[in-house]
Amino acid sequence: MRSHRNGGVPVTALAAPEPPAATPPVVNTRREVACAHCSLPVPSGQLAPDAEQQFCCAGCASVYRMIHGCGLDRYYQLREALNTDPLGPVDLAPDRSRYGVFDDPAFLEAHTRGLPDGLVHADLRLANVHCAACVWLIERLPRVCPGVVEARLSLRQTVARVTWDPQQTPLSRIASALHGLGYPPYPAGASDTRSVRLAGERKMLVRIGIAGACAGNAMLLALAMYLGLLDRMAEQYETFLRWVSLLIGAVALAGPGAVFFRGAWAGLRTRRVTLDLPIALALGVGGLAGLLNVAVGRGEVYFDSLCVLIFLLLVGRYLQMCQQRRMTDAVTLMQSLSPIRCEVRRGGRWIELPREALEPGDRVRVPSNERLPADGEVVRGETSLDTSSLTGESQPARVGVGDDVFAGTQNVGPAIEFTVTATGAQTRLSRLMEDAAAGVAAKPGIVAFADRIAGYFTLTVVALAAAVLSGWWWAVDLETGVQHAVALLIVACPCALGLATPLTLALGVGIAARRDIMVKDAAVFEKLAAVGRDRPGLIALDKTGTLTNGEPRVVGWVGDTGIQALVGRAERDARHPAGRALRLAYDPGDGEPFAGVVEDPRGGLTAPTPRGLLRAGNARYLANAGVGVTDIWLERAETFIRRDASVVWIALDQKIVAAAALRDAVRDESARVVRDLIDAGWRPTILSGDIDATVRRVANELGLPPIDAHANLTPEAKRELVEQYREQSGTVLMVGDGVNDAAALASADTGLAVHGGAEAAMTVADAYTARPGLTPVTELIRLGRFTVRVIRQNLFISLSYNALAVTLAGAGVLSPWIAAILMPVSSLTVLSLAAARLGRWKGAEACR
Amino acid sequence: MSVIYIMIPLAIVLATAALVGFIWSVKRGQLDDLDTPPARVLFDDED
Repeated sequence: MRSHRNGGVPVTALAAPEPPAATPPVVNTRREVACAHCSLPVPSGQLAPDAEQQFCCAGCASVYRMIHGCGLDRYYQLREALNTDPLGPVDLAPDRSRYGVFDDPAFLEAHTRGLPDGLVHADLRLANVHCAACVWLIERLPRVCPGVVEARLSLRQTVARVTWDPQQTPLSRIASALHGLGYPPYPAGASDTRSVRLAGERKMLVRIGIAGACAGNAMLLALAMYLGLLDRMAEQYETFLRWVSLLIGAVALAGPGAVFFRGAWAGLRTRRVTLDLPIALALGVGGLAGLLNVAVGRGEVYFDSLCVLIFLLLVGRYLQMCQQRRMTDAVTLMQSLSPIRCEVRRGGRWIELPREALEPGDRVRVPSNERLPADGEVVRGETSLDTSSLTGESQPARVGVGDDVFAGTQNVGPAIEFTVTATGAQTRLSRLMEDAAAGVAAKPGIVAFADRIAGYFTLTVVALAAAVLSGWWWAVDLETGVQHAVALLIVACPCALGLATPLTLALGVGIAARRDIMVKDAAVFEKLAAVGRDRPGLIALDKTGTLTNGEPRVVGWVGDTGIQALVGRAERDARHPAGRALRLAYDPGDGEPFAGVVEDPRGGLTAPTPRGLLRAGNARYLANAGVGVTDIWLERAETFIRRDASVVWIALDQKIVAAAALRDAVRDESARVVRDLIDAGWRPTILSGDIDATVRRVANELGLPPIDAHANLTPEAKRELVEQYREQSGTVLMVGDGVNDAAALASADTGLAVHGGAEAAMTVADAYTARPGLTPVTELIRLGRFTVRVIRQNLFISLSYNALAVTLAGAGVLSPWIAAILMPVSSLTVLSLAAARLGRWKGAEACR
Repeated sequence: MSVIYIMIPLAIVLATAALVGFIWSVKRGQLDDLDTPPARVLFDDED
């Protein structure tokens, strides 16, 4: 769905349930046979010589059979006709194909809604949604699954609203059908927040509609009056036209225009001046004066200008809102940390239940590679848990019977059983998210640049108006003074500024999106621009996954290099992170995987190879297999151990032949980015939940002083440090990815969640980068500065126009038709300048 | 010229009718999703 329509937001990449890095597509360079479903090259091992269609994997083959079997082959023609990007690998892990829990009453209660006519509907978020052809296929669901009345897909949110008759088909069958078509469904979650949001958007559109209709009609009438002025229109007609334009102006002011009065009033009550104030002042004074002038039948009316003003300002705000909503949507496509289903022991046997049905005291089984559905205490088994999203530790934590475990952590070892102590909102994960959400609510918004100048602006305009009033009163009479002062107040309305600022910000958000950075709150630009060489700011970086790769890489090897290819091939399908690292380092190529490979999730693997029985794993695994690590080998690998790397021992026929050192290495570009940041006035600091030695090593590699490297931080401590820094050094930008960073992300001036981050981090962060590494951070900082510079130029230009108009009004030569021309012309100038400047932005400008 | 006493109210009534239609379509949710319907019209030649 990286189509021209969605502004380049790579939604598919986000919707994929697993990062593509986990399953690198095997590309066959010798014979390019395209998969009949996903168009990726078919690996030689999968080629079926006699078959009409070739498939790259079993998932694609089953999806193709399903689509073909339902007579929906048109999907492929449509896809070809639409000329979309290749689909990418279809994720159809078999353990996701069971949807029995979708029929559980607790699940139905939480995720579906009954309709009056006995039908039920549910919102399902679909993975792998790609392009317009997907819309066609998914909306043919009633043909695939009888009982479904309707399926409507929203491409932007990749959420399908499915309506069905529960008498005819259960939800699980619908979910399986969607899965069969290649779109694994997940519950879309809180429909309340989405409907609240939708209601807000609709209200805004209605306002724009009313304002637009008023503006158009008021302008037509005004044109008639201006022409009549030159042509000596009969007085009764002019009076009539004035009354009608009063009517239209009153509708515009009382309806859509009321937004500005409310905004100004809300600002005044909290003793804040916003841009709404000068706008409301112009609207209010213009409206009142117009009303009086129509009533007494003398003087000018400005209803056309007022209506256009309201319309343009609302359009600017609407476009900015749309752009930000789009980004929020793109970010909510992330997978939830919590699993949909879990295995629970009820009534003496194991059954599958949705997470919503769990209760404290339940006994739950968590198989290998699943995430924990609730908090609890281990009652059986021993395993390693990947707690990085919760605590930031890069090494999995070992847990055994009696240990506390937490929802959202992932079981990377063998299956365990635990007794549930807390579910849903009571889990540590939920409390952390709540904590973070509270931080967002408590965060003082920055005073936007336009609002900051609004106060001075209002004062100046009012002072000028008073001067003009008294000047003309003294020179001519009170009435002339009032007329000229009113004209001045109206033309001084900061229309160009009020329109151009949100549009410039919206353009900035769009440019960021094309670079895979989703900016949820455009205030980010101004906050980032507030830091420079003379105004230092602090950038707090989480270590795991931000500065480092977030997963181990091979950093050293001792012993027989001749068996590296063998190791790579043996680890070809390994699921353990260490196995992945070895596979990436020693590319197995196209070679067939060895038959009879046995992987132990506790950290080891045994493979029969042509050169003998190969074992790779940690010392404990090899010891269990009867292979001892001799002193000579311990000595040879000692430097690895000293340098904070973990060692994978390789044995061939029960004898150690090599050792590989694995470490979560610092990203290649991190050092350069850190230097760039320092150049731009930022002080980089590492906030990590990882152990001291690792953090110190990373700081050392990046050239950061030890005082700027904090280790062993709990999520709460991270937040406290960020708050402390905010008091000390002004602007704080927090960059992180895990749930453990969420609270800190929320309390920082700007929170930036990075690639692969947890849902909690995405939700509270102000921006999210879908590209790994730190380069997007510097890009965003540069873009922020550039956007703010364009806004300031706009300010200068629009103030020049205002000065011209105010001079004319003060001199008493400003007639309504000059005002009516001047105002849109100034807005247009500013807008086109902003578009031209930002359109040329290539990101090549220096950071400073 | 007195025709404007009829024509202008008539024009306003027409504009109001169009506006009511717009508001109706917004409230019915026809403008909620601007991405999918343009794709959907491409398929209407079957079924």
